[in-house]
Amino acid sequence: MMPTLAFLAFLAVMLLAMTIVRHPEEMPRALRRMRAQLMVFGLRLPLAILSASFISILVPPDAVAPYIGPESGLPGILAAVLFGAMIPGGPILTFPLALVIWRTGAGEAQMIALLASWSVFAMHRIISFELPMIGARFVALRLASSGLLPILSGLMAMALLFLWPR
Amino acid sequence: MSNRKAGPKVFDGGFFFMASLATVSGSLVAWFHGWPAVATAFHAAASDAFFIIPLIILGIAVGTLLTVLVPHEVVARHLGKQAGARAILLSTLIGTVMPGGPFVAFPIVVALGRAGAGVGALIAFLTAWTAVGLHRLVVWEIPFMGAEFATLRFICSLPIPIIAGFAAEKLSASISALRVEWEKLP
Repeated sequence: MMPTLAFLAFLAVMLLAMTIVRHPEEMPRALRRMRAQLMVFGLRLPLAILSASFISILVPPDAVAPYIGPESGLPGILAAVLFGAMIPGGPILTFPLALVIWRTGAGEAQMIALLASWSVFAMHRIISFELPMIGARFVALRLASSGLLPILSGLMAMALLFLWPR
Repeated sequence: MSNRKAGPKVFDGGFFFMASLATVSGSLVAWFHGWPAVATAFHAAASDAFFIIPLIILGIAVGTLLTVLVPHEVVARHLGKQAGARAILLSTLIGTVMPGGPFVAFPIVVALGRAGAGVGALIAFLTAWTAVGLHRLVVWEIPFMGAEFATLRFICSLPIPIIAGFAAEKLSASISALRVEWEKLP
């Protein structure tokens, strides 16, 4: 985790410097936006992490691995895609949940299929943004064009993990 | 989306959903496994939060500053100018690097659709923003799943928007029920 923290800190400092030099007048707006997001996440994220921790105790340890474990292959990827498509929330809920599923024994390729499927289907976003703003035809076209592709992501991950095993 | 200045509300449905999820799951743990298990869960959550939350704070800083440095007028200008395969590839790139939530991405799609942008490019843009999204990678994926997993996920998601863009172009050209009628949108 430390290299990641250092990398993100470096990136943040670089961008901060760029913003101060090139758009100093935008700084108050950026800070306001940051504060607003921190308020939202700061309250919800600890609750989500806590819920995920409770759920990991409630879910029996062998509930996940047989279906989407590292050895589950293509059927596991299909199951993960199905499950990912049904997650009804944004990232605040999904990532703590994904961490629980991963720790309970899901395979890496299956996790990738799950997250790809969640991001393509994203029920909550379809209902609250896409349908009201762009309409059913666009949603249908988008799902027809990309609905099967999370399977491809999972298979790619499986191939990559096979070629470069850890 | 007229209330753009209001931003997300702190105590809305999302908050109460999270609060009730934590309460219900916590009660179930207490019921089935007793209070020591609840204490264990709090402990595990605290040590997770200790690693994850600093990363998320930095992620938010990076995301917000990127939004300032790359205003979405610039995104819209570059997206609307192209056509064909070039448009799909460029839209994928722009969608991948574009920061911001759905309240930024969807209005861009609607405006460009009305202005006559190709549907393949718009679908590629939207799919890249959601399925590849560097922004999500930085704010969520790296903190929760680690940099190594995030990199693998990023590589494996790259083909999705490109294929989706070409597929959307073909599908909307051949199936009239899938043709989006931009002029009829509210």
